[in-house]
Amino acid sequence: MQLGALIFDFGGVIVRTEDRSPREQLAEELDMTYDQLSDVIFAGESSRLASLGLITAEEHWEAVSDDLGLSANDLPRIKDHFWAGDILDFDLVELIRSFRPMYQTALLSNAWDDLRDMLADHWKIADAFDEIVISAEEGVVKPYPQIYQITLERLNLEPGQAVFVDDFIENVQAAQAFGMQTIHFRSIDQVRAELKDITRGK
Amino acid sequence: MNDLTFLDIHSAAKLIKKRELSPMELTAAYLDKIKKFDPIINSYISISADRAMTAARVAEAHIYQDNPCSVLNGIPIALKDLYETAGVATTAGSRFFAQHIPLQDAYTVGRLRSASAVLLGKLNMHEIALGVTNVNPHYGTCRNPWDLECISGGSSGGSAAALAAGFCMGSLGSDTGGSIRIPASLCGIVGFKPTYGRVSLRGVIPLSWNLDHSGPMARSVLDVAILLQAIAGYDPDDPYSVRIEIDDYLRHIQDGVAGWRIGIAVGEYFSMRTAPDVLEAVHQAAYVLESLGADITEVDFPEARIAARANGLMTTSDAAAYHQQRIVDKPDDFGLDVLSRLQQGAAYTSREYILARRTQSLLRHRFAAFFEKFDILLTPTTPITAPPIEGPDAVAQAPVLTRFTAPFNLTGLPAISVPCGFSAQHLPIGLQLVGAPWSEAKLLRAGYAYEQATGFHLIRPTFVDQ
Repeated sequence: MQLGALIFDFGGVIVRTEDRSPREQLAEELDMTYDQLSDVIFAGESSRLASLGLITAEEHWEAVSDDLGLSANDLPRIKDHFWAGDILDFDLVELIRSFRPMYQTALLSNAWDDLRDMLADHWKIADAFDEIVISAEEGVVKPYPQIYQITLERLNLEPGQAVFVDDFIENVQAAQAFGMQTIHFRSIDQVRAELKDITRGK
Repeated sequence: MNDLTFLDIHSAAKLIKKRELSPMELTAAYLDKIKKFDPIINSYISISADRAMTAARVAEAHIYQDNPCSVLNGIPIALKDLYETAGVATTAGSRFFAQHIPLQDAYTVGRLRSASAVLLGKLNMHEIALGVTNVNPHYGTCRNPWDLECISGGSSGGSAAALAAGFCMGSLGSDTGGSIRIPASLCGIVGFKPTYGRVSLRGVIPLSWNLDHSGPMARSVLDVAILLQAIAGYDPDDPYSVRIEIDDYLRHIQDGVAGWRIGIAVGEYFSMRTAPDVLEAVHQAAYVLESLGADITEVDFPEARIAARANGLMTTSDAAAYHQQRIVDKPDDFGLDVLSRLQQGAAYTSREYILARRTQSLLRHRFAAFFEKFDILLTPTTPITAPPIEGPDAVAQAPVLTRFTAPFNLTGLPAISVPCGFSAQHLPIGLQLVGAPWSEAKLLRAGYAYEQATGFHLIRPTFVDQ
């Protein structure tokens, strides 16, 4: 089956927390560990609801603020610190762009409802993708088959025609079970090499 | 060949039959891995390395002598440590049974041995099977391979953790309020509690004579079907065994669920205190089954609450009856949580017990009517994913984790837990499929269709790479 699209996860793949120190400092200030702080932001109930689009990103941050006992005035600074160590991998974005127009490119992310604007206005990479699929907009998250199906329908492809790249093994395995080719992201060099093999039909 | 210890029974059996995999090589790989990594998990109470290698040698001889072989010939299995094993201590996770060396195998253990399965050892469990955390004060806490700071669930926690970690290929557990399905859900493996009376309990140290169920646990629905086929059937020496013909559990397993009527449990009891990611996973599972051709209907079972309560009452009362002399003679030899529950069980009145039995009859009737209209029922297996070891104590965990499983011990209905997703903390979530009495083949068929469509059963924890 002919390859038609490359689909990439966002957080942990295209944008990664390369510098942990701002988040570590913030955790220390809040008397928590790094992992505890990350869990409050990404793994708590309000984060899940935001990822499903049942609440907005703003409402999620308000819930986080309540959990951490912060005032509304603290929130902008907390958010800035929390994201300060996140780095966009320009090499990877360049690599993604280089595959077009030979292949369609797509972004598939478990994310809150503010991601689409962030991609366009903050990261300025929305134009690197033919399709952007965000869990909060679809009401379903990875690793459930429905979100892979939605993505493929948008690309008008069969599962075997797409390669999916993600850093979480459960998302990768679920995509594989759905019939997609997959790459478990560890580094850009590894992804570059594996994509090279796949696109050359090895 | 890649890691042998994550092969499934079905594939390993084929390779063994074709002489492409040696039972001795396979058994040695498991023993080596258990020795290296089980100290992290603590899933085994005892390991029978020499006996296992001897059994593997016999299995290998069967192949090379072209003897007719069972599918389990040379397959490494481990047992929850309340299955009696001739000549090997069977502790029930309790100090009282530490020196208990049975003279005979449990009926099911005998069936596995006759099939030339290789018994690797005996697995950790919640003390006397009366609890769901597997925080065992005598043999140590069994940890969850997905997160070492979390419980494995219980009471068959050693079985589930060992399967998730790749320390055995199949296991037998027991289930009185969810003790197969809860750890299966929390550790991301498959656990099956068949209909009451389907699998003999002879030689299984009891918790409740009225509610105990014996059943298989493995890493896939297909493997569970293979194990069930080996152990199911009438045992004339077990007073609770029922003489009903067993099905061929593999024959129609691939036939799918097109045209089936499937209920998904909703309503306050199933939704109010259930984590959003668990609810979402179960609704996604319904979507998958719908896409496979099933007709999905939301159904409410408000009676499930009283069913779970009645099951808890009967379990602790029955356990207090079985252990009555030990409670009197040496109460301090029980762990605190178990003693507390036994004392609670001893304090229930006969009137309360009779009302619980009445609930049991009513609920059986109610579910019989339900399964005239529906093929199967879907619920979450547990309302939450694996909680931390250092969290609320074992007594507090029980009513939370047994919420959706206990009603089907009370009613004796068959129920299987299959992996159906992950929480935001990357912990496994279990989907429970429940059927009419003796509908094991149907549940296996639905579970197989679901797991083939999703592949969640293929995802492994990574602690062994650390």
